Amino acid sequence: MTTFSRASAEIAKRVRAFDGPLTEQLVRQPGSFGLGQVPVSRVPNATTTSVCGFCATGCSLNLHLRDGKATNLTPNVDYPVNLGMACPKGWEALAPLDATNRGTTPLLRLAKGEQRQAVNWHQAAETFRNRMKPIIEKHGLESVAFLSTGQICTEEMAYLGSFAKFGMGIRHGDGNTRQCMATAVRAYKESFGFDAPPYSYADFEESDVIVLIGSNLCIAHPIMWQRILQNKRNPEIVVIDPRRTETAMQATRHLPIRPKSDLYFFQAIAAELIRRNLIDRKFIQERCDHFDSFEREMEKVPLAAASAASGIPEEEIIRFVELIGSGKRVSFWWTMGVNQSHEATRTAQAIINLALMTGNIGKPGTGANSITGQCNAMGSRLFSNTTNLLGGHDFENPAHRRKVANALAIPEERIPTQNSLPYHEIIDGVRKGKIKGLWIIATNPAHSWIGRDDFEEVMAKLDFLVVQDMYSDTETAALADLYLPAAAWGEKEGTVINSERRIGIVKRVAAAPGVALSDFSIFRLLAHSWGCEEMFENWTSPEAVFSILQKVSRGQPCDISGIDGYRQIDEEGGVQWPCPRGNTPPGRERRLFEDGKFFTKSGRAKFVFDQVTPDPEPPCGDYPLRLLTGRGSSAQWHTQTRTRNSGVLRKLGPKENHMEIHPSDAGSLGIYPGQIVDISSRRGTISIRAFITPTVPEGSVFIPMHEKETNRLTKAVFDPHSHQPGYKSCAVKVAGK
Amino acid sequence: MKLVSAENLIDELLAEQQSLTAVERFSQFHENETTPLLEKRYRNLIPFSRPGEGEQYSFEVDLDACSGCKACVTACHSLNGLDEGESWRDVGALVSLDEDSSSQQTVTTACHHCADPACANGCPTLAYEKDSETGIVRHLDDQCIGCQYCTMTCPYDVPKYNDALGIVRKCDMCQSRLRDGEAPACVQACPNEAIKIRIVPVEEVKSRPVNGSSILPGTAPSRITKPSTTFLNLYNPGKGRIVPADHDSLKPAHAHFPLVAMLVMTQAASGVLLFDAIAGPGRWHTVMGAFLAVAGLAAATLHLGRPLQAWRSFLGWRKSWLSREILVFGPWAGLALIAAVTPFLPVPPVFGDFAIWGAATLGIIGVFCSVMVYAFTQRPFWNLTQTGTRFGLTLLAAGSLFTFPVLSVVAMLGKMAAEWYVSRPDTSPFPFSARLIRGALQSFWKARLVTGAVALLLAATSLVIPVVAFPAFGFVLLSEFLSRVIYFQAVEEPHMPGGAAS
Repeated sequence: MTTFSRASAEIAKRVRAFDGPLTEQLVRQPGSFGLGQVPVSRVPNATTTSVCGFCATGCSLNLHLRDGKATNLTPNVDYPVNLGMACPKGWEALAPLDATNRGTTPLLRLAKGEQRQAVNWHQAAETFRNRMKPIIEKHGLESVAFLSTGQICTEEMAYLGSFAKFGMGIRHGDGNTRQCMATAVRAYKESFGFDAPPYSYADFEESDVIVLIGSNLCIAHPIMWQRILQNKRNPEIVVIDPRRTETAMQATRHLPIRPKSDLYFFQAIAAELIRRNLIDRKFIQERCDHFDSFEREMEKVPLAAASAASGIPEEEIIRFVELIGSGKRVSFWWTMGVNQSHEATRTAQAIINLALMTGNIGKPGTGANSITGQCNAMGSRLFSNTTNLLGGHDFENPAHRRKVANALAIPEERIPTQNSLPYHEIIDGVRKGKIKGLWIIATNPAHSWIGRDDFEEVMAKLDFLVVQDMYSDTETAALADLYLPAAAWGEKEGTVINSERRIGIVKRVAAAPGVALSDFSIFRLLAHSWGCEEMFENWTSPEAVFSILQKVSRGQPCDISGIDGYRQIDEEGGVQWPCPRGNTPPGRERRLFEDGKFFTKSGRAKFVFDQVTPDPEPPCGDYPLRLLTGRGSSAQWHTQTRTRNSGVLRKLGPKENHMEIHPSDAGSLGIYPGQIVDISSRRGTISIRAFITPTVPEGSVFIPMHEKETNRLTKAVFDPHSHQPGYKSCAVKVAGK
Repeated sequence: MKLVSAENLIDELLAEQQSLTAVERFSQFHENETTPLLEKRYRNLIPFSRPGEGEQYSFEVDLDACSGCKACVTACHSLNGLDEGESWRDVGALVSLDEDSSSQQTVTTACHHCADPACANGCPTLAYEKDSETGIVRHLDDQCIGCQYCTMTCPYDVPKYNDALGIVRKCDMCQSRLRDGEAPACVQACPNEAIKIRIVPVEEVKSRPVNGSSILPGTAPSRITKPSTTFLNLYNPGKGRIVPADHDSLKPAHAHFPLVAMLVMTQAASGVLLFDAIAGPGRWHTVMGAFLAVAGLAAATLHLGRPLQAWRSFLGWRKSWLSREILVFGPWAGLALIAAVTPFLPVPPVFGDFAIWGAATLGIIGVFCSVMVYAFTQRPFWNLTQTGTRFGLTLLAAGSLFTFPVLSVVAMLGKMAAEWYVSRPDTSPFPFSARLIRGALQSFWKARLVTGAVALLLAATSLVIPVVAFPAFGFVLLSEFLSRVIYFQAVEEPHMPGGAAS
């Protein structure tokens, strides 16, 4: 037997294929360029870097090129933002480009109800002009509007906004940034005098106390969480969120406040800080306005009532007050949990007030810091020519209009003297038949618009709907009369501005499918066809437009006139605004207000505050539960038009829409794990699988925002100051089927 | 100013769109850099030296640092050049069932490079190699025939079948990277430095599992394969049970129809041949037995990703029951064919006797190997008793129908009673399987009962009218086929914690 055994072992050794074509597929070999080993199938012969096109963290990705085309990527090690790391979406940034559902040609619907037909760009541009112009001529400049985005490059959104408002002359345009950042914009403008997030990510590393409010950073911004872990000061991390999120689990302290109690809660914190005299009176006196009236108002906020409303015991609140009033470096960071609410602006300002009154601003590891959503939300805020006149200017200010007209070399009277309608009023305008032509660019409101149940009906009222997107089959693109195929991130060049005001470069490393064109080229073509070629004579390339925007920005807080072109941005690892002339080298990580001067006329920050307003739709007898919505996983992006086109990202997200419910609520409703249930709000009913978990609070259920059904339930309420939709809360009921 | 025509502008824009100029327009950084730029970051996350005698590499995961971002999964995919949707790493979660102190804990997991790897022990072709120096359990892609048995023997759901390639692939701990002093892809990519490579003594890994312990709550007992991964800092609020986030997800497993057909047909054939041998040779149903034997083996090849490589499957005979099963059933089918044809040939009857008794003996051994193939996986629902009873009674019920119909009726009744018992959620020793049988699999279950009842009736009738044994046999096969589908689909597959609603 042993001889036999030995012989068979010998046979085995000879007939075992340690190598061969299948084994060779997965061989790794040195990739050069400081990459380490890479798969043999994707060894690059050059590399270049590009800022990621998903979220506003603004990570830089190192693209592995073969003959100029990207075949793979790794996170950029040199970049001050992400330090060689990326989240799953960044790693998979190239996958959505190769999807089979990319738009490859313009599509035109000749009559309502008919199938769309492929047309060439000439026909598409002619149609755009021939359909939009008569609407404007017949119904006026307010009858056509556009919806812009935070997902395209700054130069592109500037071109769009300028062509639409100065070229076409239409009055109304807003961005999808209204859905995510409008609150922060408004809050900063009122409090600091300009839309100016004051921080740099280095502040995560410099803080002693990090307060995360309505932010599931670990999932929504994993690379920022990385920066917190780089903090060597052993920081206290406080998460304020109704849910026990991944981030709450990682925190040193979790304050699970009741939904919609946030404004009252922060007012109580301010009141206690004042009562305990844990405030920086010197800073307040020298640098701030309206503190006295603020103090008088806050005196009226009783701790006990705030404790009862928020569900946080008084002693917990006091411990938190003592922590942020301890004189340590405290930084406050907020995201959508704050921004998407019926009283969002005042809540954001309540947070800003805490930073101001404790002197936690303009110093390392401090700040009242709004974390942005989309890769170019900041570009949209400053340069999309929607809410603001280009460069953070004001349409209603004649001096601003003159300055911008001069910088662009256009007649001043081409610049509208009034502000645009906000997003929801544009949609309302369509609903009421006042707006008859609409142009939607790189956003998917048929999925994401709040209370979207009648969105398709509303769009059907339009005489002409144009949708410009990289996919021809998004929920919104499918409705378009004219669909314009856009090149995607990675197929075009330009800049984006991240959460910490860093301008980064996006490069063309892949050819667009079919005859898809970059949004920039589409705007050029449409402007040409409209007859505006003279006005945009110098707008020949993204970099040319960038230099025009530099000129426009001069003298503004967001002055970027000192940047020496794209190459410098690329070589510096991005450049933060401000970067006025003479500011060289610009410095890698800078924060605002270090000199204690704010952007208001007085140069002083303002305490802005208001009374708490009633919850627009509290749970009640018929609808006893509260619906919370938010990000589902780090592998999903917004309406998933891109992330669903990556096999790995699909694998990492939930397989189907699901509703998280607390075990005690599930118990009392008789819902078993995995059961399909009906969840209804006053707007509609959807069927969904129940996932029983104690991480949602009792009395609330949670549904990720990434499935289009979710917004059939949400209630269209808006913050009165920022006009941002309040996605985070509405009343619902749940019934087993 | 010069006016461009629209056509010219469009041509210009389209040409520009297709030209890739980033290389010319921007600087090439790190042109001559051969050291990985990330090295500084991961230097402390991998060992400085190679494993010594009696040591091996292992993953060490700091659960406290894992925040669930899943970058490790995508990095594994990208840095290893894997196919669409393929990755060797996965992220799931553990949750606390304690209502007062809710908690969740994300878990990143890959191959555990076990000290006693079941994937390797079960592989019929020796397509796994536990590296003698590093302890890395490597899959030999070119040796694999795509039988997917390792996907059943691994209690952590690690080997993944690649449909397009027809083979299984798995994590090799980026062995070539470790060899060159680089960190594995997942280690490199974790923003929170939650994954490390450690050198551990193999004996220590082997001695870890005590008293049915497992590496994480809700995972298979470590005694099965002796996994080398360690998970540190499991969050535990003290009270309440910690369970995988997908602990109550009820998903039917793969049905593996070719295997279902192969098992039912080989068992029926083994039975027919056995009882034909007992009843004496030269019976017409021996032909049918031989046909079923060949058809069963043919069905099995449909299951293979690379059937042309199946000749390699004898290699693993020293450890693999699957290899043994194949080694036995091959000659068995040959003998069955001989037994079937000899009565029609001018050869001495002793040939036929020899062939049918040989087939009968090998058939029993083969079915025993089949039983062991599934029992070896240590999945509770596939334990020796369950599998032995089911496979054995299939053999009896189908095999004795023509020759000893009473025995067939008894076997059918017994088998249905046993299955009924297992399918009742309240009393079943396998509640997961019972819930599936009465839930998602209930149409199979009902069909199995109906066809089983018809088979019983017909078999009983055949006591009086022997020709009815024909349709009875058909219904036995059909009902056993359905029963076997349930056997495959209702099994609880052990795996690492999965994600919410995934």
